[in-house]
Amino acid sequence: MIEEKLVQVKVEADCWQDAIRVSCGKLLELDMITSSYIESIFANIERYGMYFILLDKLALPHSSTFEEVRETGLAITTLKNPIDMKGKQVQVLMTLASTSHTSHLGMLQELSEVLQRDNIVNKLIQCNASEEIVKIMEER
Amino acid sequence: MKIMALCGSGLGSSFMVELNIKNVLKDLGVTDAEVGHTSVAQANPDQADLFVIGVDLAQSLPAYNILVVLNNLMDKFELKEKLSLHLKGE
Repeated sequence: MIEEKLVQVKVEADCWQDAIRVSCGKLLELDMITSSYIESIFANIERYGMYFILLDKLALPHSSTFEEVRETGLAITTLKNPIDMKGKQVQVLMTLASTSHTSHLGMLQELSEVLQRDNIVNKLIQCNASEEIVKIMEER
Repeated sequence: MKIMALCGSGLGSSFMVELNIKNVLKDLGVTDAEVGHTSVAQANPDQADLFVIGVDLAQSLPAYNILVVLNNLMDKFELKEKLSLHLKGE
């Protein structure tokens, strides 16, 4: 479900905007999204707020602008320190890019099972390397 | 009955809630419910008998009278408690 090339750990971010930009970094670098996708995430937040904070300290930023996505993927970024996302503290960003209404559903189904585990967010925060994150995400 | 999970984009968060609703219904022994997900922009009050939404977005849908409002989007215990209350009231 998670590719190591899409994982970044203990990144520094000054504000939530910065954190979201950083969390899109790998997707952009690998040409999976266009740079306008990041602006669309901001527009989505402007309109609806931080509704995608799924668990304490974990956010799933995304936009449904499929035309700005070339390849479906989920990028994981953990931050060195938690940042304030409009009143909620976030330290793990799982940034989703999807090419259609359905292409990401299998991935999210697996993610949903992983997120049911006890203490999962803190375990991810403590990881010092991308491969540790992948290992935790792949545990069954 | 039909239950619809709602979020801002109708893509990620609402699908995660849909999965949780399906699990909770299974636990509660409800087999005749249809569950889906969509965005608040595309939703309309006739689409389902019950709508499930996060507290952040709940105010944006004043016309919906049958709403389950979740404080924590992925909290299954909260979902189970609130959903079973609504199902009992049927």
